[in-house]
Amino acid sequence: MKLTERNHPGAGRRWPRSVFDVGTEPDPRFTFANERTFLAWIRTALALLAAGISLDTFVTKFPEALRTAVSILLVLTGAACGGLAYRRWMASERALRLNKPLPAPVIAPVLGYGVVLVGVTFAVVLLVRR
Amino acid sequence: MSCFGCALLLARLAANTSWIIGAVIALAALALALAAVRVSARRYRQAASALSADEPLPDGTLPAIIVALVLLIGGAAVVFILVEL
Repeated sequence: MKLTERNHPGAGRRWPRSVFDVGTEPDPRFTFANERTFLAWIRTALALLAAGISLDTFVTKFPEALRTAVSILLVLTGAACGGLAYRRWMASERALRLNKPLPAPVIAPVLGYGVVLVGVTFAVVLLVRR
Repeated sequence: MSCFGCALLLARLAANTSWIIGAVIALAALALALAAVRVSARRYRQAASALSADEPLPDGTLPAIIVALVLLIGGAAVVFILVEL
């Protein structure tokens, strides 16, 4: 389905304009799939934020400096996931409208390296404290 | 709801350190959550009618509000962790 802005005058008022002022309307199924991907990243971001807050508040047996550092790392990774998810949603929607290739996944390395760093830190602390 | 719940939990924890920070987080989260509820209800109706009428789908206001809520939680969590030090 290709709906043009000329055929739908109200479509030009949609926000953000950098996304909706270009190209033609994609198949709604693609738009909804893009939104579901965005929401999946938001759930991941929320899980990381909750983990960071819980670690700082409820875990008392870890060294305080390390606990704080890992908590902040988790929270920052979560916030980055949220922000980058929005950027990716915009870039993907724009690519769909312009019939161009989808953008490269920027969030996956952030999440992957962040989780690996946290996991390795925990593993080292657990091994040292035994 | 999960974002709002997380923000309220954080606000409650932050209130142990400073009730002003806790109140600011809670009020900001409440405002964003109310905006999200209002926009999502409107967005659902718009999307349903747009699909049946072959018209463009709604815009990106709701994703922006959700991200604002996530960033609020992230920023508040960093402040909370650093203030607690």
